[in-house]
Amino acid sequence: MRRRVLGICAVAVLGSLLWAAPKERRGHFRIPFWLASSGEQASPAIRPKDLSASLGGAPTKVLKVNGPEDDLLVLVVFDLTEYLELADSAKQAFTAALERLPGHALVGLLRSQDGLRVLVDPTADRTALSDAVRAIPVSGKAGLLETVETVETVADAVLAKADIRVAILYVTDSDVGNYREDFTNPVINSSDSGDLSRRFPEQLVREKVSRMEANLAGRQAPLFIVHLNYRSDRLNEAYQVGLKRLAEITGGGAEFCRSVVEIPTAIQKSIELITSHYSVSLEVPQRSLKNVEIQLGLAGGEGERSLSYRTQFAFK
Amino acid sequence: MRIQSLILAVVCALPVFCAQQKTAQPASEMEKAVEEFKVQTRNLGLREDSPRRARSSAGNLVWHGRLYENLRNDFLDAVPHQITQRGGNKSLLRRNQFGFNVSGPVVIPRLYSGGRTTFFSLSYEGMRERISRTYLRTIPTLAERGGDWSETVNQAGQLLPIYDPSTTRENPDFNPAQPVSTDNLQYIRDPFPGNLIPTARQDPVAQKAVSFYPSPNAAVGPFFRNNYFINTPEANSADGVIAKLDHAVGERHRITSEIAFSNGFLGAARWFPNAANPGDNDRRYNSRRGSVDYVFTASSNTVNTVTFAASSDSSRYGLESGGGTGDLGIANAGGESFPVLSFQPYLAMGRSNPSSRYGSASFVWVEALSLRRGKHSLRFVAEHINYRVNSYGPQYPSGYFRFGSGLTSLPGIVDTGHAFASFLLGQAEYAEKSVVVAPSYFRRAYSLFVLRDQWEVRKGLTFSVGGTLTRRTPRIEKYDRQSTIDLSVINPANGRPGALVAAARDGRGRAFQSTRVSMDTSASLAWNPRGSTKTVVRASWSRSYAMIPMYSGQWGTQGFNDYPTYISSNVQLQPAVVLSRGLPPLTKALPDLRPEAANDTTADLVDTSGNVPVYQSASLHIERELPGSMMLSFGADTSGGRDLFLSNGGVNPNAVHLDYLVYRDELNDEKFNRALRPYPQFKGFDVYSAWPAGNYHRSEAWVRLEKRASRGITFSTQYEFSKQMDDYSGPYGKQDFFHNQNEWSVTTGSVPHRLRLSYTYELPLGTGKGWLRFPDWRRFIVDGWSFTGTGITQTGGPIFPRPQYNNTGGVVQALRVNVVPGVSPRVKNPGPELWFNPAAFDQPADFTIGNGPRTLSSVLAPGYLNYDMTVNKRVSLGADRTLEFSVAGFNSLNHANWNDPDMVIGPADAPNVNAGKIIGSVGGRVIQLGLRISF
Repeated sequence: MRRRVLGICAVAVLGSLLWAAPKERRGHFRIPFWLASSGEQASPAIRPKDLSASLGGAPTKVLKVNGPEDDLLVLVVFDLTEYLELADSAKQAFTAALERLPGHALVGLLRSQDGLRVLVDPTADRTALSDAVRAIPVSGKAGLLETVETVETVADAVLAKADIRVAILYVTDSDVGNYREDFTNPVINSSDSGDLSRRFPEQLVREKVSRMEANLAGRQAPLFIVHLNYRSDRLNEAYQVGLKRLAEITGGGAEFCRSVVEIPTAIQKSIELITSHYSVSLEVPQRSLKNVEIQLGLAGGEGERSLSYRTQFAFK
Repeated sequence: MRIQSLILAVVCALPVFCAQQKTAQPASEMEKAVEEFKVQTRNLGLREDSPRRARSSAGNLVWHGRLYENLRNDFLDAVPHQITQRGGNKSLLRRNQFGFNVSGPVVIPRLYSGGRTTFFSLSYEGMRERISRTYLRTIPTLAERGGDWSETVNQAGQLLPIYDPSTTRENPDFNPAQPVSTDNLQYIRDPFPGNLIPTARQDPVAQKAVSFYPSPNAAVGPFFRNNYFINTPEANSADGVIAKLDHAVGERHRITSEIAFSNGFLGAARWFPNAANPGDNDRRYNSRRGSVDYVFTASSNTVNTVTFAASSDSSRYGLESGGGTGDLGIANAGGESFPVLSFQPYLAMGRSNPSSRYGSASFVWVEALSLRRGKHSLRFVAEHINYRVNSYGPQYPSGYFRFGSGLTSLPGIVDTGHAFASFLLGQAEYAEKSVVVAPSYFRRAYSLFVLRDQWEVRKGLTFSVGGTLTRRTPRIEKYDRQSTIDLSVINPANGRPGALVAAARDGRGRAFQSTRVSMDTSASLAWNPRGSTKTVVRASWSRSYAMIPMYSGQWGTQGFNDYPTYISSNVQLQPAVVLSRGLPPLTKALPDLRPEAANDTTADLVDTSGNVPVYQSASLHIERELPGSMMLSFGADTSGGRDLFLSNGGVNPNAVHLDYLVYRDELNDEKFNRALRPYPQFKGFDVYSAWPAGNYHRSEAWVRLEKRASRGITFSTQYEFSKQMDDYSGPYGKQDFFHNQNEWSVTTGSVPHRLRLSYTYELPLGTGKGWLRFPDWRRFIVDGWSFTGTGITQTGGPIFPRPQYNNTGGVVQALRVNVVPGVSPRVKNPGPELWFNPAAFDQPADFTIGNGPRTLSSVLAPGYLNYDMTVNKRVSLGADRTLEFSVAGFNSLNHANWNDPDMVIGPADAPNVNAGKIIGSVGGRVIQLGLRISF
C-alpha cells in the first residue's frame, strides 16, 4: 500500500514536471553573438534574413542584426581597490586599447569601488577618457557585485532606446573579503570549537552569485570582466568562478590574470570581443516562456561558419 | 510701421525657427543612446548632476542580509566507531547554531540618511550544544584499591610483585663493583605476603581518596588496562556580535570601524562525578575587538591608511564542575580544591589550575602609505603594538603529589612495584604546592618599519624586494614582580653560579632580556617566460626573526610567589611526603628575593642570550594554463629555522651528562645526582617553551590541478610530498641534551604524502541549465541543486617506539629504544593486529641509552582519510530573496581512522604483549542540516 501511494505521488510529481501551461507574451529582445572567423573576412555584414532563430524550439522572427560596423557603446567600469601596480598596468593597457577602438565606438567611463559613479559620459574623445582613467583612485570597498546589475539596467535601457550595440566591461582587482556586504562568513564565536558550518565557506558568495545570475539572465548587454589578480584561496576561487558565471550568463566572458604581463592581453582580448560582437534582435513569440533556450544559425551559404552566442534568456 | 514690425518679427523669429527645425530633426541612434545613458544614470543618482534625492539613494541602497540556523542531532548521525567498539550505541549531540547578518546604508528616520556614504553591517551568532566526549583510560581495579595485587600483572602478563618499603635494609652481600641485579641487590626488601597490602598499612588519606574513583566499566585490555571508558557530555554555549560601520567623506576620505565581542561557556566533560574529576575545568571566555581605519586617497597613485585596533581575550577557569574539594585532610596542603594525585600509568585524580584566570590585550597603531612611481610600487608601513597579558594561575593550590613505583619495588630492579601501590601506602616521591599571592601583569611592545618595492623590470618580469626593521622590547611586569635565575651570579648557599635575581632591583633593568632590533628581508620575482601569458614562474626567498614570546601563566615570578617543592632523597628508598602526615607548614614570607630562595626547586629560568628564532624559506612555483579552463601548478618549497623556542622536553640546562650513567644506581641518590649537575642547587629548570635552541628543516614538492567552472564543475586537487626534520619535536623529549645532532630526526607528525580534493558541481537542471528548464512552479523543485565536497587522505607520521622502563636514575628524561640488528620493523600486511614488528626494538639495559632514532620514518603510523560533502538546494523567492537548505555530511563516508599502535617496547624477558597493536579507531559521520534565508 505504502509503495503504491509513493508510486502515485512520484508519477504525479514527474507528470507535473513534464507538463507546462504556456503563457502569453509579446515583444523583442537582443542577444550578442560572434561569428567564428574563417580567416577570409573577419566581420561580414549579416542581415536578418541570413539568420534563423528559435526560442524554446519554436522558430521566431529575426528583427534586426547590428554588426561590428555598426555603432557601439561600451560602458567601462573600473573597480580598483588594492593593487597600485596592477591598476597602473590595467590603466595603461586600457588606454592603449582605446586607441585601437573604431571611430563608431563610444566609451562611457564609470567606477564602482565605494559606490557606482559616472566619470565620463559616453564619448569618442580618447584623450578625455585616458585622462579620466589615469585619475581613477585605487582604494575603497569593492563594488562589482553590488553594481553590475545597475550597469546592466542602464545598458538595457540604452538598448531599448537606441538601435546600437552595447557592452559592459568591468576591470577589477576585487577581493571577496573587501565588500561592504559580508560574503566571508567570518568566525563570530572563536570559542566555538565545534563549528562545522564554516567548512564550506564559499556558500555565501555562491548564493549571491546564483541570485545575481538569475537576474542577469534577463539582461541583454553582454558583460565582460577582467580580473587583475587571480587568487587561489577557496573563497576567492568561488568568487572568481562566480564572476565567470555572471559574465557568461549575459553572453560575455571573464579573464583572470595571474601576473602583470597578462593584463594587457586580457584587456585587449575583451575589447576585441566587444568590438567584434553582433547583436541580434529577436521577436518574442506570442506563446512565450519565462526562461527560454535560444538557438541561432546562419541560413544559406554561411553554413560553414559557426556562431557563438548565449543559449539562455529569462523574461521578466 | 506694421511692415517694419513684421519684418523685424520675421528676422527675429527666423533663427529660432531654424533652431527648432534643427532640433526637431531625428537624432542619431548614438545620440539617443548617450542621452538615455545620461537620463538613466541621472535618475539612478550616479552623476554629479543627479538630483540630491536620487544621489542619496544611489547604488546598492537596500539592506541585505541573512537569517540562518544549523542543526545537529545524534539522531541523524552514525554512532562513532569508538563508541560502538565499546558496546555503546549512542553519542549525545544536540547543537543549534543560529544567527543573522544585515548590512546596508545607515538610515535613521528623520535624522540621518546614509545614502551612498554611510554603511553598516551587523552580525549575530548564537550556539547551544551538548556533545559527548569519549576517552579510554586505565584506572585501578577494585582489588588493587583494596590492596589486593595478587592478580596484577605486568605488560607481559607476569605477576607484578609489590614490595614492602618498611622492610628495606642494606644487603650485606652487595658487591659495589658489579651492577645491581636480582643476584646482586644493594638493598633487600620483602614482598607483601600474597602480594596483598594489608588495610592497616594503607594510608588513611589514600583510602579516602580511593573512594572517589569510579568503578571500571570496560575490559579492552590487554589484561586490566584500558578499563575505563568515558562517554560523557560537554555543554557549550556562545553568543557573539560583529558590527561594522563604513563612512565616506567626499571622494578621498573613508573611515571604517568595527567592533566585535563574543562570550562563551564551556561546561567541560566530567570524567568523574565528584571532586576528584581529572578532566578539564569549566571555562568562560570573553573576547572583545575594535578597530578604526582611516583611508586617505591622495591621488590615483597615492593611498594612505591609518589604523588603530584594540583587542582583548579573557578566560576564567572555575570550580563549577568540581563538586566540592573532597576534603582529604592533607595537612597544610590547602583546601580550595581536590589535590592532584598522580600515579602513572593510571588516570590521576584532581586537576591543575582549578581556579585561574587569564587575559590578554593588544593595541595596534598602523600607518601605511602606498605609492606608485614609474615602474615601482612602493609601500611604507610603520606599526607599533603593545601587548598585555594578565595571569592568575596557581597550578596546585591544594598540592601535587606524584607517586612512583620505586618505593614498592625491589630497589634497583625494574618491573617490580607500582605507583598506585606506593600511593596506597601514602608515600609520594615528589610533592609541590603553589602559593600565588597576586596576579601578574606582563607587558611588551614592538615597533616595525616596512619598506617594499615591486619593480616591473621589463615586460613579463616583476621583481619585489622588502625589508622590515623591527624593534622588539622584552617582557616587563607592571609592578616589576619578575624573577629568574641568573646563571652568572654566585649562589651563597653553595658558592656555585646560579642564583635568584629580581627585575628592577640591585641595579637590574625592568626586563631580563635586552631590546632587540632586527631586519627581516624578502625577495621574489614573477616571470612569464618569453612573455607567455599562459605560464608564470614565481620564485621567492625570505628571512625573518620571531618575537620574544609572552605566554599566559605566571612563569618567571618565582620570588614573588611560593612554590614549595618536596623531593625524595632517593625515590626507591625514601618518600618525599607521606599523605597522612601532610606537608610541612609554610612559613616563608613573600616576596622572598634572596639569591638562594629558589634553591631545591625546579626554578624558572628566563633565557637572556638575546637569541630569537630565525626562519628562512625559499620557493619555486610554476603555473601553466591548460585548455578547458584547467590550470596546472607545481612547485618546490624549502624552509628552515634555528634557535626555535623549546620547552622543557627539548632543553635542560641542568642536565646530567650521559657519561655519568656509569655511576648507575648511585644516581638514584638525589644528593649525588644533583652534585653531577651544572647547577646542583636546583632540582631543575623550567624554561616554559621560551628557550631558543631548536632547529628544523622542511622540503616539500607539490602539484595541483584546478578546473574553473565549466559545465557546472569546479574542482581542485593537490598532491604534496614533504619531509621535515628537527632536533626537538619529541614526542617525549630529548635523550641527549648535550649532542643536538643525535636528536636530528624526522619531525613527529610529519606526513610525507598528502592528497586533497575539493569540488563543486551544480546540477545541469533547471533555469539556465541543460535539462528540465521550467518556467512555472516546477522550477522551485528542479532549480538550484549543487554538491560540494572536500576530501583529504594522507599517510601517517613516523612511529616513535619508547621503552617500557627508564632506569637511568633520572639522568635521561626521554629514553629511546635499542634497535635489534637485522630485524625489520615492517610487517607484511600492517593492520590493527600488528602494525609494526616490535621485535625490531628492545628495551635498553639499565643505565644505558637507546641507540634507536627519536622517530622512525621507515614505518609510518596509520594514515588519515576524511571526506566532507554538502548538498545544497536553493529556492529563489524573488529577485533578491533566496531560501537555501543544506545537508552537510562530515566524514560522510563514515570512515574509521585507526588510532596509533602501542609503541611501548618491553624488555626481552617481559615484552609488552600489546606492542605494535592498535586498539580501536575513531570517527563517525556527522550530519548538519542548515537553513538560510537571504535577502
